[in-house]
Amino acid sequence: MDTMLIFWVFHIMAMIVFLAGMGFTLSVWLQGTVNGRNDMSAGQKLAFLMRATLATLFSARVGALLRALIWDGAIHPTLFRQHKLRWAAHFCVFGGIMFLTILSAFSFVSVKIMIPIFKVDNLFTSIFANKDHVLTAFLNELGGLVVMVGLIIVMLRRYVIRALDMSTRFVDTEIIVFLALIIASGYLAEICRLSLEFEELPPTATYAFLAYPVAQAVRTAALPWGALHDWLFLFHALFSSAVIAYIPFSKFFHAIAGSIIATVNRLQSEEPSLTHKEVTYGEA
Amino acid sequence: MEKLDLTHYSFKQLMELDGCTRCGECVKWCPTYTEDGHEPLQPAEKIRRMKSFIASQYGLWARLFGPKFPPDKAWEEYSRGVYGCTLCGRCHVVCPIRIETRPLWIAMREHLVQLGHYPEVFDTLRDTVTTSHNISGDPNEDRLIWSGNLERIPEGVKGKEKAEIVFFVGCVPSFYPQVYAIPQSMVQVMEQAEVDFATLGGEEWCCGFPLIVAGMGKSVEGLASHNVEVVRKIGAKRLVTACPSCFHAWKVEYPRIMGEPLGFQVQHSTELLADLISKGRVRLGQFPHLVTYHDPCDLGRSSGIYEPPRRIIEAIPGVTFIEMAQNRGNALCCGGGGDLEMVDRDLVSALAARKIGMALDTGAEIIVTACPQCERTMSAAVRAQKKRVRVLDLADMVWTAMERGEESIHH
Repeated sequence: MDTMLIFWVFHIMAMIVFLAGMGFTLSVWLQGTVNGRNDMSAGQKLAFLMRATLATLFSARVGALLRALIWDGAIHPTLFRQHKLRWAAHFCVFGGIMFLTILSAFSFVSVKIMIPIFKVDNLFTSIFANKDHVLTAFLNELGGLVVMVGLIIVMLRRYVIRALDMSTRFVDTEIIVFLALIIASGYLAEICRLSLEFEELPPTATYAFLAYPVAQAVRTAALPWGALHDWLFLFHALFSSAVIAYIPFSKFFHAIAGSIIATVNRLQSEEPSLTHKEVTYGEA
Repeated sequence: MEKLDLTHYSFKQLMELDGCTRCGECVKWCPTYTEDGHEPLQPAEKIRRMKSFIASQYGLWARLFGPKFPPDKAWEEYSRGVYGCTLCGRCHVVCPIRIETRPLWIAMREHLVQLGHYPEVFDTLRDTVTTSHNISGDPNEDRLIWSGNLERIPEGVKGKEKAEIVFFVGCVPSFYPQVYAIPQSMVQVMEQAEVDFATLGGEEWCCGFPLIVAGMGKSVEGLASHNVEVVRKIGAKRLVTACPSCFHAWKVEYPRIMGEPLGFQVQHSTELLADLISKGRVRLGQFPHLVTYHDPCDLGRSSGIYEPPRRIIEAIPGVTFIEMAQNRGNALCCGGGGDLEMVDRDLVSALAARKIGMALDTGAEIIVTACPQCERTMSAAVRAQKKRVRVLDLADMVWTAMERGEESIHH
């Protein structure tokens, strides 16, 4: 059985579900008014919004937009001011996942596109095509660790200390369990790979500073490391794809909608305000 | 039952519902939830409930297996949360993604009005305002009753055919004796500063703000067009009001309702007073008191006016000014907003008591504010708690300082 074939079939289906979910959500949003008007069809509203977005992208405000997207959409300074620990948890989980996603994308592009199709074998592709390269090994471990730290803070606050302002609902627990499963399965798959290939590993593999010592300790156990790695990796990949498909229908969606809203609200707040621009002093 | 009409919300507001992270920062800062502790009052909970209503009609499950209309009980609980809010907007300030909560809560109220799940008392309010043209139901011709006991009634009070400035008094200062001092002080200050002003007398109709925040904005169109027409007739270049709610209605809501610029400026009285003081057009005497300032929600968070009131306070000789622990964007609501007084008076009293406590922590002798409704609410709490602190409007404080200035000259 070709595990990559299974993965790609599932992953493509998951992407279709994700896009359908996004379109589905957009169709609900388009029932609202746009620019204070509701006498437009959904298509006209969408066209208006696209024009407004493109007008901002191709204007002098693109810098402000990017700054708002990164600063307000991803870093959330308001949360930092209000609650440092909550901010740290969110930043670790969100930032860590974004970081790991970017690393995975670089690896995919190097291994599946740049090297085999375009025959580009340079420093960039050689780094990201090699799981045991110093940078790849270290950065992947670091990303995973950051997410784990974030999840641990979240779980401690929510289930142990219970230092919460709202009651925990299923949607809150679901997102934590799913992320924990993705991270745990990724680590376990990596430990199995390192255990399997331990004798042939280059010295740089030690930069996988969490998985490597564990592999060193458990590799002598009489376990089918190869098969375990394949199954765990398959689970990790399929489950990650399933979670992506589930994003538009779950609390995960706040990562997309929230970032856009934070950006839009920042840009709007920087526009000359209705309240102030008409007020002038000293004409009485 | 028909499907939910989502045109009460904008595209962005529907997106904001999905953007809420349920982080709970808004919950911690919500004044009504902090006092009442009832879960539907939580800002994030209102969003969650509305999302679940939308999902029950438009969600994937609903599209596959048919929509369900939420039961009346769910709407009633939700309605209690949406109307048990002062619309203070502090949730917006602390929200990590800055959801514009206040307009969202008003949109939810409009939706609830359409669905018939709103407090009945608002029907009475709508009838009163649209027939009597004021919130108290008194004859509207009595709008200048507050001027009755002035030693000398300034020329502009009885109305003029033409004036530079229209002073829009507002319903609360016109009909609630506790705050008559606000228009009394304002007209005397303006007269002393030789400002060419006029009031509208019985031609002043309620600005409609209480109906807008009740979710009955559609009933305000007639009020808005009447008010705009009479101000235009006077040829005023500026409209000044001491009420932050009227100010917000004129400044933000009226151009939207009318679909065109008003053709004159709209100013809050604190902006005018700050200007008159900075230009030396009023002479201020000593006011040797320790003073703290309460930021009215509709003036501060909703309209962005934080500095003119502080400039006025700091310009008065002898005043020692001290900020409350929570001020400006983080200021605690006094409980007087959002029409909450019509729905839950006990909750308003509890909020006001908390606010007074925070003010007393500063050691101030006087709590000064710039809103008739805030003054009413906080004064009632001071009386109820028998605290030794005075609540004053800035206009009143400025006029008192001016009178003391005059007295010292005569001495």
